[in-house]
Amino acid sequence: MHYHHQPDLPAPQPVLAAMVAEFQTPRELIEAARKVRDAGYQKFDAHSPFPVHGIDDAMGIRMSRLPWFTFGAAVFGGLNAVGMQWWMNTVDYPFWISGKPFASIPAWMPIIFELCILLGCFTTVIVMFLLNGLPRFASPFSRAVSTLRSSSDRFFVSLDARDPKFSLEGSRQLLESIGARHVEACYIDPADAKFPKALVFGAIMLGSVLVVPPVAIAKHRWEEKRIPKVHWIQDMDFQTKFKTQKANKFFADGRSMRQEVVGTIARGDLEDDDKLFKGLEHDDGTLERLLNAPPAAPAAPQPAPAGGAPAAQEPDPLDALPWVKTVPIPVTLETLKRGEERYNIYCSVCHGIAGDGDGLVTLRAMELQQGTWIKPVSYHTENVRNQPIGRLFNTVTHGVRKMSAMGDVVTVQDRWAILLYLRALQKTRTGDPADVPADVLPELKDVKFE
Amino acid sequence: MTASTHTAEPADFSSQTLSGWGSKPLNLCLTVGLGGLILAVVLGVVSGGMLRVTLAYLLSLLFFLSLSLGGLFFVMIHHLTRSGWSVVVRRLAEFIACGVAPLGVLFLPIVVAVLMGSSIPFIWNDAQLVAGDPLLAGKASYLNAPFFAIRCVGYFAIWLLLSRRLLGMSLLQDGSGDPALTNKLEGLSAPGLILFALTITFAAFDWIMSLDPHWFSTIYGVYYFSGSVMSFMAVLGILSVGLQRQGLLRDAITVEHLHDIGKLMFGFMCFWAYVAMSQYLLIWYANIPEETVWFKARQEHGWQYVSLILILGHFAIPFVGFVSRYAKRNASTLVFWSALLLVMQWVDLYWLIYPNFIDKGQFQSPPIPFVELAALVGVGGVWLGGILYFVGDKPLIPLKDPRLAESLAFHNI
Repeated sequence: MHYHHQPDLPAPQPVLAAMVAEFQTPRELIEAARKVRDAGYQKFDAHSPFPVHGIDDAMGIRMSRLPWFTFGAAVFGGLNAVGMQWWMNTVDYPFWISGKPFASIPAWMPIIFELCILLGCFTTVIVMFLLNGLPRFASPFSRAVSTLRSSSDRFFVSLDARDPKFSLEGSRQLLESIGARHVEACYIDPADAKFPKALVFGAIMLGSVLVVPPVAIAKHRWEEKRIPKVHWIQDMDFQTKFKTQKANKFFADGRSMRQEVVGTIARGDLEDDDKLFKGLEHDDGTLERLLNAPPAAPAAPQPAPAGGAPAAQEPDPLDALPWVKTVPIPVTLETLKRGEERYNIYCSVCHGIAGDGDGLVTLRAMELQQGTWIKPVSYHTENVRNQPIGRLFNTVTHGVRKMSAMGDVVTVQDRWAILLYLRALQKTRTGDPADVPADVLPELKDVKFE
Repeated sequence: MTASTHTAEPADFSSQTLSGWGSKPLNLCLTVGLGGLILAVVLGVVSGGMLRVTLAYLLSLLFFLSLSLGGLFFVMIHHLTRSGWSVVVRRLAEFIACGVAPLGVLFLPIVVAVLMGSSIPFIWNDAQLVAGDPLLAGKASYLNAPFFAIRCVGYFAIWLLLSRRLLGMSLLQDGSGDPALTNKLEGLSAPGLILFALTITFAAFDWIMSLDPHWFSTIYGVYYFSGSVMSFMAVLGILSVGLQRQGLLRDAITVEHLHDIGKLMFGFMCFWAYVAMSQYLLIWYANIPEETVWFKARQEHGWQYVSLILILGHFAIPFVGFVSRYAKRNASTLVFWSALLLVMQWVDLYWLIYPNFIDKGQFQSPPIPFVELAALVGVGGVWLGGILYFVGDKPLIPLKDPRLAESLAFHNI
């Protein structure tokens, strides 16, 4: 190692910075502080290994200004909370929450409270450090050898040399006259008290470097690009699974969604009871074929036959199928009640409460006279009365004319229950009083219809 | 640490008693009290019937009970935390806590009336009403006369036992100076505070919340507690300043103690606002009719002004006026804000109790409280008389408490 000789600089002159005096008890310290204050000193301090009650009075320290900063910051935080929530809730993103007004002060209270506390606390800590003059890198007090014991068992008063009352001899005499055990003058190298330049430089460099990532991210988020942006926050946005309606290279047809494999049936989809699921005694595939047959081309309006005889109506191929004539589920009062409930929910809006084809939707549609509505037939017609119940089940399941298919809306059991109720409705017009139990009959006679 | 700077023997306070006053104040209190009670009954029956009288009586009982319970809490929490500063005012708190004894006696008529089947003011005691009301029927296993009476007796038994024991052991120490008693008091305070928390919670449920037996709020006990401690601190502040103006405790209670009393009063005032807001916010948010009905009653028929008075007078104005250190360290401002908060504690209870009967056609506007004031004077007289009976010629300061020196030298940073 080659030793570089420092160039000869003028040796820094130590400067008298403070005078420290040592005392043995807290009581002596308080007494000394009071006397120093009475002597007219303003820049002086007391040092003790532990807090001493009454020292601030003895030193003549006024109430700290800190509470005002705390109070101001708390008020500022509260106002901020009000302003922020007002702007968020009424201007930026007004959003109804359970019918409350956008500007709801009760809902703001917790945030106001929290921000008061938060800003108050931060401000208190930060301003406390600033008022204390911390952090401090050098103190003349710590230069004196004797003051080491100020953190264990001795008490000190230090007079700052910047005080107008300060003088080397006068201050020494004062301290000795108030009973100090030991007085020492502290000298300090003025360069020590300055903030180290290397630290300042380092802090600036570090600060500059730290600015780069947030600026880069902000720029990245702000500008428009032709390539996808970096997805910073993943939030499980990308998963190795196939989503509906998405392309999938694995399959030849490029689709994620697959059809059932030919010849298989999904769990629970085996509908092998023709009576229950189709309303047929037995099915040889005719029903499916008929339902899936392409709709006949709209027949050109046929000119009335010259003979004047009405055109013979083509027979509906469905009529020929072997429809069941009885309900394939247990017939109980409970089922009937269930059917009534489901009927009133799903059917009555068009078919009417009593099945006359006069539901509210129908009435409204007829009133509009748009010409596209086909009025539902009344259940109380010969045609409907004579249809096998299986045929009616097929109508409910697959729909007819303007009536939509209810097979996907109402469960099989409920469809049969509705049909049971439909039969009961029909019975109200054709029934015999003799069918009614004798004890109920008088009640029914008194019913008044409005 | 603090005591180390004050090694001198504490002054002798054994002459600090009320014996100079004689028995006059006690007799005056009891006379005024009985007069007030009779006046309240007469005024009440003339103006509003039995319900008004009962509510005014209940309101006054709960007001003074809150002061005594606040005192009980103060004594126990300071034993438990081994507090030094509060020793010079602790005896005063012990005396005020003993006020539960006269209040227990005054509470007996309510218990007897409930046992005899009266449904005024507790409508859950009306068997016919309960039978037709599934909600009340469901609560009948708790809200019924015998169980209510047992609970009332239980609450007062616990409070009496605690307050008498705390005062008794403290007085014992005046003679013997045995520091072991301080440890015993600490040991009593730990279970005592648990019992206190449970009893004050359920007492608030039973005596105030059950006036509207359909409604419920789990924070109700804490609400009553927060007001109780706050108003006790107010009484302690007024009492400390008042006794000093009478020439007592001048060397004992300093501005530092007043400052701490003020701090606690201010803190519990904010705590009251916090609890009240917590209760309001949850009900406001959920917006369920069975809960909001309670606040709706207090936002109509003129009761909205009472609610406003509470928000402003029980929190907003004292917060601004009493937040500064100066206001707490100045005897006059301390007494002023203490008196205001005591009035507000009364308004709070008035606001809790009366609107429960709006939907039954009563109190369609806040009644001018002359019956209530008469009852307040009545119950207050008996309460104060009872406390004076306990005070007798006993010292107003724990003479030989091991922490007395620390308390005398107490100094806020």
